Amino acid sequence: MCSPIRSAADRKFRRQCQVAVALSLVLYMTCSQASLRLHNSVAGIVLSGLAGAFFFTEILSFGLLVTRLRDEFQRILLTRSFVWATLITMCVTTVWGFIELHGRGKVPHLDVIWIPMILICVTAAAKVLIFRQYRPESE
Amino acid sequence: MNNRLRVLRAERNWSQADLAQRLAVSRQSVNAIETGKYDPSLPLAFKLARLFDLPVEQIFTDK
Repeated sequence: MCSPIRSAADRKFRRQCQVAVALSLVLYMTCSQASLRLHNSVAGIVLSGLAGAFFFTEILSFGLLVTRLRDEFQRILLTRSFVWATLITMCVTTVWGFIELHGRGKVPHLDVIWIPMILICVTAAAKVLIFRQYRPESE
Repeated sequence: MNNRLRVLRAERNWSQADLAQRLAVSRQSVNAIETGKYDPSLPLAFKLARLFDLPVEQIFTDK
């Protein structure tokens, strides 16, 4: 991949955003799984709220990374990755939902808590594919 | 949009990485502009113009 020229502050900020995205994804999954086990209890509701907050943190970290990135071309590529990932995730989960609804038992139930996880994974895959498309050739 | 970035860069013996460093962008961005895959924003176009000491229209031309 490319080797962007960045200042130490830029590198630090990018690393912080990446850590925040990874950490909030882990915490989101932990809280959402725990909330399923504590169904119909106050702790379950609190954990669901926390899971929502961690998902919000995830999107916020990504948004901050995109908006603060100085390199406009990389900003566009990152935004493009996220837009494609959102489109793909929405299409796949909608189609999956219809298959679940009309073809009972043919596909396993996709719990809504997996959707943010799918979104992040598809965003990562889209980023690799899109950045590879614009990989600079050697001089 | 066409541009003369590759020629102007070669005249100064700059590599894409050198130009990227001067513009504070990635080499990927410089390559995308040079190959016509990406048209830069006005601020970046003016930055290029200042760097090469040329008017914008002498660097970028309509197809």
